[in-house]
Amino acid sequence: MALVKVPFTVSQGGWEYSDALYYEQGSVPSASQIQSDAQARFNTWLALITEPPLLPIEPPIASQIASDVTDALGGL
Amino acid sequence: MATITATSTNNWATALVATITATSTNNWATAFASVPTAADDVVIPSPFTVTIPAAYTALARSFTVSNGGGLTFAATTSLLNIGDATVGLGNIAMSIGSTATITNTAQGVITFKSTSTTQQSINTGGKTLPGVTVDGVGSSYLMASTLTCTTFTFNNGTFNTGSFAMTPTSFTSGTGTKTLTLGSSSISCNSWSMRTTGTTITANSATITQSSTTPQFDVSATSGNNYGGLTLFQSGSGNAQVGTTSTPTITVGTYNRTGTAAKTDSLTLGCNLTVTGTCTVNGNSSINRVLVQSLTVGTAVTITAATVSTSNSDWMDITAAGAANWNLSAITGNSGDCQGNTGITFTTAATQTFTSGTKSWSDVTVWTSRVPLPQDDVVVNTTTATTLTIDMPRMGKNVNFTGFNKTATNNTAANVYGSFTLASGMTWSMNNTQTMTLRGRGSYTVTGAGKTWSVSNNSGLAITAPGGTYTAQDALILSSSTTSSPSGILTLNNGTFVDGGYSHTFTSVSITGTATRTLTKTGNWFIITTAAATIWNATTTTGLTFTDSGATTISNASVSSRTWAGGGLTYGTLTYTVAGSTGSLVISGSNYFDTLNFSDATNARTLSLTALVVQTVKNFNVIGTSGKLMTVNSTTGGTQAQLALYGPVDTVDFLSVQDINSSLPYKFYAGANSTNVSGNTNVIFTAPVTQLYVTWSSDIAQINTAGNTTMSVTPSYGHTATAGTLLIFAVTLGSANPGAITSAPTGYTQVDNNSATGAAYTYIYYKIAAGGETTASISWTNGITNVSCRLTEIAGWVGTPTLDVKDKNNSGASSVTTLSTGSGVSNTAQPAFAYAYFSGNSTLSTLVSITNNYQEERLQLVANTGGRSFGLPLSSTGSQTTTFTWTTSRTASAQLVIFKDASGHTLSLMGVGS
Repeated sequence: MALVKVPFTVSQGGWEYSDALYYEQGSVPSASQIQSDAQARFNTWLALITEPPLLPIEPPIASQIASDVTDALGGL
Repeated sequence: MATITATSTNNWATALVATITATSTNNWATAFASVPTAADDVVIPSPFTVTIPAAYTALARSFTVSNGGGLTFAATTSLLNIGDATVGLGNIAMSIGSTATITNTAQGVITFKSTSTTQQSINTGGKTLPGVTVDGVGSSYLMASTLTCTTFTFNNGTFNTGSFAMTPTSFTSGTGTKTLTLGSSSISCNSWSMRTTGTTITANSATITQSSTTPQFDVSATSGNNYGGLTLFQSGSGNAQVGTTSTPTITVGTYNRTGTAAKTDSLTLGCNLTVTGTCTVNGNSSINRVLVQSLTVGTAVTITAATVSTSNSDWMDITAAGAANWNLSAITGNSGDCQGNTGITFTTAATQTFTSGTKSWSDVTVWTSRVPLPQDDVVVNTTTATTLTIDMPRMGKNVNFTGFNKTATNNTAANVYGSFTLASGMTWSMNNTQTMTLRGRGSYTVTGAGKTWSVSNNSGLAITAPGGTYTAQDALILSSSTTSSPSGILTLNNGTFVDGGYSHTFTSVSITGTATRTLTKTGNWFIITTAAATIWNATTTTGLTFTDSGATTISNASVSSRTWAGGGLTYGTLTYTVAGSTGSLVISGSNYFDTLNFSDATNARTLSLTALVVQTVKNFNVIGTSGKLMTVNSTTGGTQAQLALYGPVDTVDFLSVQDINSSLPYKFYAGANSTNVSGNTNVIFTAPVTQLYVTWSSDIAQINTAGNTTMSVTPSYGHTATAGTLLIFAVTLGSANPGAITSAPTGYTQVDNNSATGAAYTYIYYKIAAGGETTASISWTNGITNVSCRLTEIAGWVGTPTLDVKDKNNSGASSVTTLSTGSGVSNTAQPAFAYAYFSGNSTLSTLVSITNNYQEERLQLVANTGGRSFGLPLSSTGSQTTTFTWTTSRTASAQLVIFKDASGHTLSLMGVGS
């Protein structure tokens, strides 16, 4: 099965996190859903390395994620 | 009381031999009428039992325990030495009666150390002995019974088994001259190590059986060994090993590796193996397989066999040879290809797709046709109820969980021979003590899908892929299930790992080793261990190609000290700024960091740099706060660590600095709020000022190497000059007259030259950098033994650097330990930079003092091997001179050159300057 790669970077709370999501060709969700997936991936990672929390968490910089996602999808 | 016993029909003078006979049950020292010596034939008769106590060495020429008698070894230090230069009574070294008692309370040692060449017999009476050592130079022993003992050590003499059976726990050897005759003995011992030189093995038809865990068989590399008639049978569980990497081919008559009901049995060959008869390798079953492999991953060994018989076996790094039929495609249980093999036809690969259910990987019923072989691609994509437990050590080639949304649990130290792909919808559970290893020899990928690998006990993810490349497809997350052990380790043993630019998370990283391996790092990695551990281990960089244009962040707070064993590599950014983390960071190795970020908003913390090595840092962002100073010190109090702070002047403050030597003049302004503890050199405890400074310098020296007629220096770390800066190229041709300069550095202008009488020739050149300059070179006529040159870039100019004035001085024909640059010259403008350069007929070491606030450039930690240079930024006009004092008398010369800034601007605090 062919997969579509969506790399993303989340910059939040002083962290910069780069990762990638993969979706089946033909089942790529909307940009907002990808953004949500990326945020969830980041949140999971952040919980792992900040347990107990070490730094105050700032609101996500949604525009950064959206920009990354748009860029990635634009290349599909 | 000694008993005089006739031992032969002979004249009185020779027929009677004195023996020492035990007369009581007691310790050796009191059981006899007199304590036996090495010249006594000793007898323990019934009903006495003699004990050799701890830390006691009993002596005898020969030793007999009669039926009903006994001997006890009380401790491992209970020793019995038998033999001297005379043959034992009746040509007997030892005789133990069949109803005698040998008690091994602990395993002492019996050593046969006669130097008589007369053959002497050893009869154990079938008793179990402690350790036995044969160590008589020129001796000759013949077994007259079976021998059962712990370690059997053969160091010297001749030992003939008499074809009796032997059952030592291990059979080992020393380096003496020795001959071993095995006959047709059956020998059961789990470790056979006859590696040492001086060993001769006579032709034999013996059988060595190794049936306990991890059997080993290794022999000497020297000629004269003869195992060609031997049968070697290794049936113990775990890894059976034959040979080591220093052993040439081992030849045996028959070889047999039979596995047990375990999935991790293997045969590891440290050398080539030739089997003149049949080579048999049988796994226990299709899932309890035997892996045949080379001791050195990626380096094949050859098995040459007349006949091969195998079942349920997998092979890695094996070259098959000989008359045997190496078509293993249809053997019982199939043959597995773990790559690196030549000459073997394996079972044809077939994709195996998992069905469903709560099953184990080893369950043949859940796969397309068989439990996956190492060459089989594996697909696990079911969405029906499944809990899949990975229990096979070799999972398959390309293992792909894409589409899988149930649970997979890795319960073994699994190996994958291709790509490994997890899926975001699945549940990934690692048995927390196991490391997964990626072993593909081609180009493969690894996809973590956001799954966390939670492990402990030094486990994690390893890449052992000779010639292979693994490229991360997303961020990998390895965490430790405990906070006390450095687990969740990414280990690069062999092959290439390309991080893909992703933010990988590891508890620690190990790239140390000697195999050929490459790490291409462009992402921002997070190191999360809170344990007192080496979080980055690059201690040994042999075979390593490393590029780091990314960053590494120590992300978790800890009270423990963590170590960055950098191995002298070039790194991108290292950040340790997590708040509330009091644990120190220790950096070892002479490394380069593009950026080092080190601070803590809430605590004081320590950055310790290894003594006597250099940390080169382009951007040194180490900043404390009031009352919470960042300590920068050496790992060894009183011994300096060196900082080379290349690039622009950094803005730092609130530091506590101790035993730090800043190698670039006027670069380390520690800040007005920092503390000068002690032992610092070239560290200025003020705020930075906008004055001229040395951006970088590089040097090279050849000392005590005859015939040098040319030399060049290239800046480290790929540094290139910036346009408009001043480049100074200083040369010392120390030990003799170099003759003419045949090739001056291209584009440079000579300032001057100088020398003492017949030695310490000094040349200084300069250039206004056009930008991009690297290497500068010079050549001369006569071969010179002691030479050095140094290339320095001085920055901070507003206008064009301009040669202003110069001065020079020398010692003439005298040897001195101090020299000034001259009577003094006055610069005509400021700002300016004064550069003083000293040369000797040999090294000018060790620095005692330098006057007038000059700071030394480069190698101060150990004796400087070449010319020594010092700098001073000038903020006023006036006479300039400096005097350098060192310890070893030399003929010496000096030059002082002052460059002015043509702009005419003045100096001030940074940020406020004109």
